[in-house]
Amino acid sequence: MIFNSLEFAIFLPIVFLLYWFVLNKNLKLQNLFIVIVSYIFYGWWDWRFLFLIAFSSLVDFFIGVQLSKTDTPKLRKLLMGISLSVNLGFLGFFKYFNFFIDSFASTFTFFGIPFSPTHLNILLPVGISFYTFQTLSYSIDVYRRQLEPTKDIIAFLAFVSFFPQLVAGPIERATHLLPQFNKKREFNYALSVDGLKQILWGLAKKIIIADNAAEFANLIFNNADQYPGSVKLIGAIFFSLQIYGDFSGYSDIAIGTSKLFGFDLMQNFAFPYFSRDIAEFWRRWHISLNTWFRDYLYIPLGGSRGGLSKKVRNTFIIFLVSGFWHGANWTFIVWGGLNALYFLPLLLAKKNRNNIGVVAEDRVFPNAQEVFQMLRTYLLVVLAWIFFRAESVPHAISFIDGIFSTSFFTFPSATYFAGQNLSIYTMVACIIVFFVIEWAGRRNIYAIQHFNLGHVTVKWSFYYSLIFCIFLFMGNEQDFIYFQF
Amino acid sequence: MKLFSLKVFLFLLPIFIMMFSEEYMLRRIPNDYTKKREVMLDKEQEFQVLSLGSSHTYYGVDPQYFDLATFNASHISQSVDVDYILVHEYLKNKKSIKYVTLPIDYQSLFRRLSKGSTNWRMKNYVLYYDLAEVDNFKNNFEIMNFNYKVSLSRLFNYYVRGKDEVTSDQKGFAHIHVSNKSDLQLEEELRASAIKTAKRHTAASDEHFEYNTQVLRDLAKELKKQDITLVLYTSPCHSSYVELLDENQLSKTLDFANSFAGEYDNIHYVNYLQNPIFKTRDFSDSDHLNEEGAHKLSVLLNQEINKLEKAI
Repeated sequence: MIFNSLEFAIFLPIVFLLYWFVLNKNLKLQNLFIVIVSYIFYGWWDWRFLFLIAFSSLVDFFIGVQLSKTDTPKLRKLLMGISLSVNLGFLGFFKYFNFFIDSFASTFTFFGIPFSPTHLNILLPVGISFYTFQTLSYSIDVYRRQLEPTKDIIAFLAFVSFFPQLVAGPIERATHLLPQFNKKREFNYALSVDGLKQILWGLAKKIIIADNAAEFANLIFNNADQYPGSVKLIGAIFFSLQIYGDFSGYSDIAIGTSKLFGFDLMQNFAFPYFSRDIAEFWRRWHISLNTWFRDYLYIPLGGSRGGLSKKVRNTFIIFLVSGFWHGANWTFIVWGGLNALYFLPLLLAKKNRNNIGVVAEDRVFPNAQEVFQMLRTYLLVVLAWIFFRAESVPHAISFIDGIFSTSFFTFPSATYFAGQNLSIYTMVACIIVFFVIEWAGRRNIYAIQHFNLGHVTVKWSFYYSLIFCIFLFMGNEQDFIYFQF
Repeated sequence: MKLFSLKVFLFLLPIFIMMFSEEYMLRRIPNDYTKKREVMLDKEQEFQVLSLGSSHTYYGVDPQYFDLATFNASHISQSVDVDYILVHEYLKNKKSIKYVTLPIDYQSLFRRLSKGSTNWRMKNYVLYYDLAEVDNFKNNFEIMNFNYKVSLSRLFNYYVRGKDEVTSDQKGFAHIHVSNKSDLQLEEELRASAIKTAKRHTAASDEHFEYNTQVLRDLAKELKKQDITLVLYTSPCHSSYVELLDENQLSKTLDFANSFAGEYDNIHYVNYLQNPIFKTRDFSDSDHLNEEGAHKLSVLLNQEINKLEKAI
């Protein structure tokens, strides 16, 4: 079931009403209900993979219980090893099996040894990377004694499968989300209104910006050799808008939906395209994954302690692993590596924590230097996204090669973009309005959170206008990009 | 919580009212489906030939050139399973029918309307032909099958500009006028459209083949019971299109058509795919005839039916 579907529009109100009106007196029943509806939500794609989630959850639950019973370091390590093997084993098998087979075959062929591997026709379970990391965080935290293991299996199953964030995050930490399942939940009017607003903004990002930008990006990436460099660059910019609108839109809907049920999820995007350097970008993009890597990989590797070479090594490791997490393709690994390279000068110059706060925090407009910094960062990010979007590394290289050719100076006339759902002019207008709203709301969790619209008539008019725009500019429905991860 | 639910309900109420009004108004726009269904239901209107099929029939079979009273009941993208349902549901109103014509084209056995990219058209059969379609809830609504922009433009066209959505004539045929472009220009356009069309019509797999051939067998049996002859034909297409077709898919189609015709004595099959009487100027695009081409095809089909009439 996807958020922008009719099924979800029917599912959500029913679940909401039952949750608050029928089951509000009993916390355990509420949690059980969350498990059931979350499994229905997930099983809508493919019910067979429910066994995978259930198994993975049960393994980590029992490992947590066992960890609490023993102080023997060897046994604790063994239990942690089992959790890692099961979770990463599933992830490795479902997501990376064919990739490794292909890479082995290429290596053998390179050395002149004929090798024809057998491919398995493996379906990738939706969201496996997300819930695997979430359940792993629990085992690791219990192993590190940073979290008391839960004895409540229903609460644990609900924590792993909580439907708003099950398939594409935010990847919650057990320390943050799990206790919320053990606490009586009271309906909070203000929180629920805030949740609805966040859902609305998420839908606008997904349906108006991402789905329409996807059409332009697909047109240009799929027929790259027919376009001059200038249009190719615009294609890459469209992809950057697609992936931002798509993923941050999903996160907003997930967080907003959770608020309706009385849960607080972590912020996943903090206006990353207004970043002044790459380090700031990575503090604002897919925050839940990047902090996961920081806490469970970067810091255990030594983090920024030790010599410069260790810092550089650790930085490269987390960027490459992050790339690999996204998918079994060299394009993602190159994308990760490229971002590590971008990061390197800041790290060497110890400037990676120069821009911590919100840009132009106490002003309406940024100054010239900030504009330059934001543009530079954005263009670097766009360049890296080309690898993320391309079918293969050679495809990405030839695409970039096309941008940096003399055809870059060809005027990108409207005829290049004809035949899409929205005209290029309407699309550009939508993007401008979108960025103006995002800029105005950059100090908040999501752009329209604290818009001071005064009287209720003005507020409702604004929301109605937004809904009207969603209907009017609705693009052809595209799957959420991050479902494939 | 009650206040919240009430406020959300009040907020959404105008949106629901707007959606229901839009749905109601869209359904009231006269279209080919409502019009053809009326004819199919009207027991007073007697036909002897019923022409089924997709756009190849819609633009390619003109009933006025048939000696027997003929009605064109085809629609764009109508697949053989939908043809079968129409026959099954509506033929009881048309006791006079002696012949059913049906194209068996390159893509006919490899696609189903409900499974393809134009599956939104299924709602027309659910809404206007009363054919139950349970596997897709969306087919019960106009507004769920178009984006809002398209719906607004349809409403504007009908309620402001007075343009309905009926594109076929009284006998169900849709005219495409002969182009006044030069032969060379036309040839170029047909070649360009052939590339896209052949690609679109070439199936990635033969997953629907078994199903469609079974549907045709069921259709033949049902028609046999009512003593109706099924005239199968492969529609004429421009050479630029035929050259680009997948040999395997084409031969599988033609082989089936020939052997199927041999299986039942109430089936007659004729292949016009590369019939030389069709020239470039007879086509509106690489696989659709214009009214001049439709004239030729209708005359040919009429000749076949006349031959069958004489043989009785």
